[in-house]
Amino acid sequence: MKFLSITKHSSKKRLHESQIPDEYSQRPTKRLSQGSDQLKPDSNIFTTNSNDSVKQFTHSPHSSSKGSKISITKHKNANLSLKTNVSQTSTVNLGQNIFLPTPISTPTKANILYDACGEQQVQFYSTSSPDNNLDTKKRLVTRFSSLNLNSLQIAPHPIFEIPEIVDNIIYFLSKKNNHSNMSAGVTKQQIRKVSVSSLSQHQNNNNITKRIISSPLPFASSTVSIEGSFKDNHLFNCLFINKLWFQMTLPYLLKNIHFQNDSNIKKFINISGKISNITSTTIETIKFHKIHKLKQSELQKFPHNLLSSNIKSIEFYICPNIIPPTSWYPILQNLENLIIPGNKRLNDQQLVKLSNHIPNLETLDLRACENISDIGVVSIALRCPKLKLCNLGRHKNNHLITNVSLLGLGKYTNVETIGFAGCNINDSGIWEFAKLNGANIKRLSLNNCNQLTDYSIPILVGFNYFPNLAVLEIKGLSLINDVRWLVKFKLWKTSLRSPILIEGGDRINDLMKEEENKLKKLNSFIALQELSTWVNADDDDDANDK
Amino acid sequence: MSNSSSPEHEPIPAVRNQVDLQVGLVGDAQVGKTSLMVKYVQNIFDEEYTQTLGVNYLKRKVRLHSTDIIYSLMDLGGQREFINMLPIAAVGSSAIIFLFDLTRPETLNSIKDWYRQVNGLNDVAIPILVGTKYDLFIGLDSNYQNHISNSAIEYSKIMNSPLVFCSTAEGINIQKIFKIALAKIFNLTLVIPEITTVGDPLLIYKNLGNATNK
Repeated sequence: MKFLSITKHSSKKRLHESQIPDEYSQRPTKRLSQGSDQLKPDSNIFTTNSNDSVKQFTHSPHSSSKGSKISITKHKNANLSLKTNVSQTSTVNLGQNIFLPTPISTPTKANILYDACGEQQVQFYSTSSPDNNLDTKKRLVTRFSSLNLNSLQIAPHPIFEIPEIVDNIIYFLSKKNNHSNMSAGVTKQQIRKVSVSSLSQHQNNNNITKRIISSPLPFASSTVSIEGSFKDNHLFNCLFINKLWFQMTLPYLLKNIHFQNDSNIKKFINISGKISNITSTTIETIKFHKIHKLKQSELQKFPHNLLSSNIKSIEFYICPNIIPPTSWYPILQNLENLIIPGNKRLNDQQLVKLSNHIPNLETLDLRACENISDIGVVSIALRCPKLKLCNLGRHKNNHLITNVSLLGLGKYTNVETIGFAGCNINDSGIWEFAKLNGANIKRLSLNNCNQLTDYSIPILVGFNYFPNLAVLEIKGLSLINDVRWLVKFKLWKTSLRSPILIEGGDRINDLMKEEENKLKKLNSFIALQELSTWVNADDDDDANDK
Repeated sequence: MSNSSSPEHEPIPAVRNQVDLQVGLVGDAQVGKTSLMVKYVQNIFDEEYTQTLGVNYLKRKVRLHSTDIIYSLMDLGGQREFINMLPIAAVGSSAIIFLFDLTRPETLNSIKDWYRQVNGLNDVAIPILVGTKYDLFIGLDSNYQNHISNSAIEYSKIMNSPLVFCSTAEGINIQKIFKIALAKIFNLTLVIPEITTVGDPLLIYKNLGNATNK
């Protein structure tokens, strides 16, 4: 209820919105003309009525921008329409007489009108923190009732009217949201700043904005689904403050879109026409999370005007029945992340076709995509030289991924992370790969690659073929029994203070623990021997044995 | 693509063993704690007296074949006003060196107090009793030498601590102090000959300070 009433107030205010920014944008102009033209006495301004002052601004050489002229005309119209009520008009005069002559002097700001607005502003922006005491609220209510329509045109604190500042606020909010929603594989997004000029272009679309705001419910439900839960999403709340905030927030919301159920996608497709009318922003990150029912044909309807070459990340997390439509391919030249785990529909043919369009791909996650084979992976390796992460782990169709994929990635990319869990690779493949690309490897997942023996990973690690390795997963490798080199590698890395994790499952972990204890005992014994020798060695006190 | 040409693949190096030990130095003002520490770490002896304000800290690394010994030396200013910083030197130390000035008997007398204070904070550290300025001491009256030597031996027995007379200026027995500390901490067999003749730079350690309560 409280929220609704605030929305009402804010939308009332919105009717007069167009006047407010102009008033503030005029201020510096005013100051300049005063400073440059000392001859004009201040008293003149005091005596002029509101319409005169408006004229003066219109003729001022500094306010020649097209946008302000248009809205000043609106200002006049507003005054005209309000003149039917005498008392209201007088309030307007009062307000402007106080504001215009000395816009920066503090005594003006201390008047009652300003105070009321100050509190009103508190009410506006503290929607998420209902800790206002009851007293203030009561006072507010009485003050609100005493305020008539015109006094509402006096804005909340001016800084919330400055687009750059609002943009900054929303930017940080979106960063915060992003951070909490950040999932693995999604890299930090470079969020494009919205320029003020591009905003003013949308001034003409006020009507559409109003329509969307005045009927917030259908839009609300779909937006909630777009970005997680409503309660935590401050960014979403920003839509309802006023038109400026709406315009500033929408691009940020649109850049990262996350769908968690089917109906939201359909709703979004329905309203997308309106959205693309009021903003030119396009999606940078799109994420589908466990969408099971949506058909590929329905996904084809996804609005193309919201998609452009800005798109950096596409994620279809366990959506078995949909894949990125072919019609998206031509705009994927800047795509960095392609995350399609658990997809049974994706096959080699599509992947080969797709590989022609994604030269900037860095992350490819095809976990449990059972229909992908060496053919698809090699075509990616050949055409995506920037690839840093490639995950092909699987439980079914193990035979489809072999040494060929491994060598393709090793030869044509500088991949840092590979996941070949459960794939059909063997010692010679790993050896070749280590020679080709071992120096770049940071994370290596080889769980359940049952053909690997003591003569591959342990030796390779022991002879430092993977100098940058930080994570090694070798769960379920039943042929690995000699873990001495693994232990030595781990101890060596630890002594260099570089992070190292070797995850070998119960059996290999136990073997390693045992080996580590043995090694430590041996080392202690050697150390004590050396200490004994040293303390008993002859030394000349005058010559330090440095 | 641009894979680095095959670097020499040698076995990864064995990890070096590292032995860290902290040694605290306490004793009255101007007995030569800082001098001893600086001499041991940097092999420098400066006649000039500089008062230690609070705690001085120096590190010395001894590199053996596959083991590094790192001595962290904590030197506490001898003035009474720094006694509240005693925990910095005493807590966490494996050995505490109690220093007194062989030419000033009252500094030996204060050892009682120092020992009591340190023992309250850290009763597992190996105490080592060190008499300093042996080079000046040998110029003094032989009766005095006898008296001090015998008292020091008594002290060392009561404290169950090895006893060393040293000279920082002449570089006598400096290395030995820290080797004895190490040997006692790790219970190593030490076969350096003892020096027990009064008037010589005493070096008595065999039956003292052997870890029993560890």
